Amino acid sequence: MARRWQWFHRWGSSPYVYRQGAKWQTGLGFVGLTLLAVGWIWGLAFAPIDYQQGNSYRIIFLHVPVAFLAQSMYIGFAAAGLVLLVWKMKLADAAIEAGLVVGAWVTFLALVTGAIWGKPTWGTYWVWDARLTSMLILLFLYVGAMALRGALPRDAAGKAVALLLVVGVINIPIIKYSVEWWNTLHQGATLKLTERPAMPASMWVPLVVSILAMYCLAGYWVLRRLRTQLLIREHSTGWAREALEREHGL
Amino acid sequence: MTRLIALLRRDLSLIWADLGQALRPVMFFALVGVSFPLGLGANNALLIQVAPGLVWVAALLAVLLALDGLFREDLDDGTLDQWLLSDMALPVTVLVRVFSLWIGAVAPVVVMGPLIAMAFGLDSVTSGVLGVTLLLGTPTCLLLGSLGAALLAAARGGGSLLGLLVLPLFIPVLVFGAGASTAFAGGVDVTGQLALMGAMLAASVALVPLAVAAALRIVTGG
Repeated sequence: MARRWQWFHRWGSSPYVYRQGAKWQTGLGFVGLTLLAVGWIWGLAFAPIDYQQGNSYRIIFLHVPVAFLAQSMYIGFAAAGLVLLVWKMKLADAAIEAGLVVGAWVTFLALVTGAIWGKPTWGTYWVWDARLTSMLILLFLYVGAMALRGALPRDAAGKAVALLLVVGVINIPIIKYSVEWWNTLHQGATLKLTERPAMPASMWVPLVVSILAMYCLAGYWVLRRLRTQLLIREHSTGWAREALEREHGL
Repeated sequence: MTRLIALLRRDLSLIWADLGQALRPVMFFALVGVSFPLGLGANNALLIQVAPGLVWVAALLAVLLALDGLFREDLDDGTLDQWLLSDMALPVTVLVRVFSLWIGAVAPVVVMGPLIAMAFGLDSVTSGVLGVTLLLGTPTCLLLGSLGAALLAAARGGGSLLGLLVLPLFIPVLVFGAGASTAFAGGVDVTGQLALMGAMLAASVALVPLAVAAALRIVTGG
């Protein structure tokens, strides 16, 4: 039992995360860039043309990965919030503070790429479709969580944001199932775990590669911000001083 | 039970003690309602079409107004600490507080809603359906909003932030509330939508007070 939970406790300690995180950060960044290069070159240059949408569909290799990411990052932050509320792990709070901005940018990117894709396909940048709207609401949830952190005193802010994230996660199923509920302009889900995709393998394999790449890059970005956040929070402790001196000559 | 009633009476008499403030949401609601025809022009066909949505949006803004500062005074004067010390379950106390706020400040909006809809030219039966959706939907929104008010009890200038936090959570209620009235005007059976709104109300009565209680513990540092 003790053995099994050791890794969990280790990942709760800031110096350990700072040190191990450096390796993970390099690894995620490297793998992410490689996969992205493979996925995008394959997808943009070699994947077949869509018989209906022509070449314009190729934005899928950016749009779908960031849209996946926007939702799963929110779930991830809500899970971190739960960890903070239940186990009072400070690291979860630091991760949320470091990561929310990344999540908000990714959501914004999903909306913008969607709008750009919508113009040639639907003839308009924006429609009040359930799925687009709930993505917009997701962006507001991210912004609201960040604003709440800014408005509260530090000790209460972390837990309050965590609670808001956990409650906001009810929005995620609405996003996921809104297509089936209201079913308007937006095409159905591109990939499902339970079914074979409707597109040929030469299209969905590069898409999956791009999705994995985007997850790695987001992990890199969050980890990088988290490590900086740990240095800021614990700048007066021994390990942080050491790290600052060793890596930045401060 | 007697303690619950005593608590309800205390909260209600506090709300009604300042009648001007208690009636502010409904006056605001009426004024917003009047502003729409002035802004859109007195085009009756257009007003009838958009009436349910406009009334619902105005009602949500009135709910936001009613929520402003819901727990702030309780935090400042120590009432919250007494709630935490009390042997009465905190979620129950919260539920009573939100219920009394609904009766005191939001119920007039529910009464006023169908009247405004009729002033927009909606027929009386559709206005009645709109009133039913308001009756089922505003308590859900008030409960969800009380979570935001609890989180912001200790915040500087929380009023403007409240909308950003809780309006996204109101969306499903807004969609079904305004949607049911519009669908009814189009001759569709709406018992399904109304049942769904009732289900949302029941779920939020059961679950949201727990989250609000957790939020109050966080802001009091308990």
